[in-house]
Amino acid sequence: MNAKVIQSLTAIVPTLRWSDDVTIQHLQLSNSLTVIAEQLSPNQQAELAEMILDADTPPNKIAKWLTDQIPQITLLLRELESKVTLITRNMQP
Amino acid sequence: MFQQQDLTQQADLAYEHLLQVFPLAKKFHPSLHQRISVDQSLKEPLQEFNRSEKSIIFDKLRQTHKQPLSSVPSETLLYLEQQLGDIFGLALTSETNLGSLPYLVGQIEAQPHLKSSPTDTINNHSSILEAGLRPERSYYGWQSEPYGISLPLHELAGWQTLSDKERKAYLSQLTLVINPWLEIAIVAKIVDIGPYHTQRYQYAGSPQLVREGKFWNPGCNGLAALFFLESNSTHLKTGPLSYER
Repeated sequence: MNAKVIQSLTAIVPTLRWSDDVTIQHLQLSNSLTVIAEQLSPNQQAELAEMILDADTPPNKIAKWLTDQIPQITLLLRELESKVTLITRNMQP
Repeated sequence: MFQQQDLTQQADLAYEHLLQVFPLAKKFHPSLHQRISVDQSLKEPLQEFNRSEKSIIFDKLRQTHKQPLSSVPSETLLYLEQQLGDIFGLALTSETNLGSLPYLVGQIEAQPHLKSSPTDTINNHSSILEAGLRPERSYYGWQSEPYGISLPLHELAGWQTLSDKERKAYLSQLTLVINPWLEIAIVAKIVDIGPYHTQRYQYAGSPQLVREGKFWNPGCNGLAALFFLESNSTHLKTGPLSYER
């Protein structure tokens, strides 16, 4: 399911970079979903969860739905990406 | 500066916050710890599967050891070339332009060191001095390749009609010599023609090749599988090949 969310978000911002590190990727995904959920009503959240869980709903359809509900989503995702980049850059090797 | 522990904490906090805002996310975005344990539990059976698949491939290779290559079904040969090629990350073939050698898995003879120059002595060789030094020059001239193999290329159909230049072209041909029992693979260069009589031995290897391939280990009894490498592998260094077991 995570892969589907990542594919949907990448369909909105194709330049989004997802870390191979499980922890960083988890952080990236949690932050992205929080920002998105904050813009949605409980009903819309339920609709989004249903689309993600429905195997027949493709990532592109979710991306389109998200863009329709949250017009500023591109900006929000880009801001988040730079925050995560900053955290990982400060990681000790 | 962050450490991995800080990052894990950050990820946990971010996840907690997400669940407060969007509780349904739990259904498709598991916690970090759940995800790591799922990844781990998937990884182990996959590794186990890979191990058993590899042992089937090597089993098949071992089964060909008493059969002349002509009696090995072509689909078995193709299967071995492809599967072993995938394991080692190389393009393998059992055929040359002139056809195939009589055996895929044959007995390998331990050869002395080959002379690298007319004045070469055994003391110029850094290891396995007990193997001795062959007094004659190899068919392909003076040789300093540590991982060398001699092949009975004279048994290839059409070898006799080749020009000297065409025969010399085999000098740059790399091979993969496999110990099918210990699953060790060594990239070796053809350095000589032989053995001339192939009833007892089908290949002959340099001291380093035989030692590192552990071909005379009990169980293996001197049996080695030989594949030719496709010409695009010429950048490879000779010697033992490391691969994921």
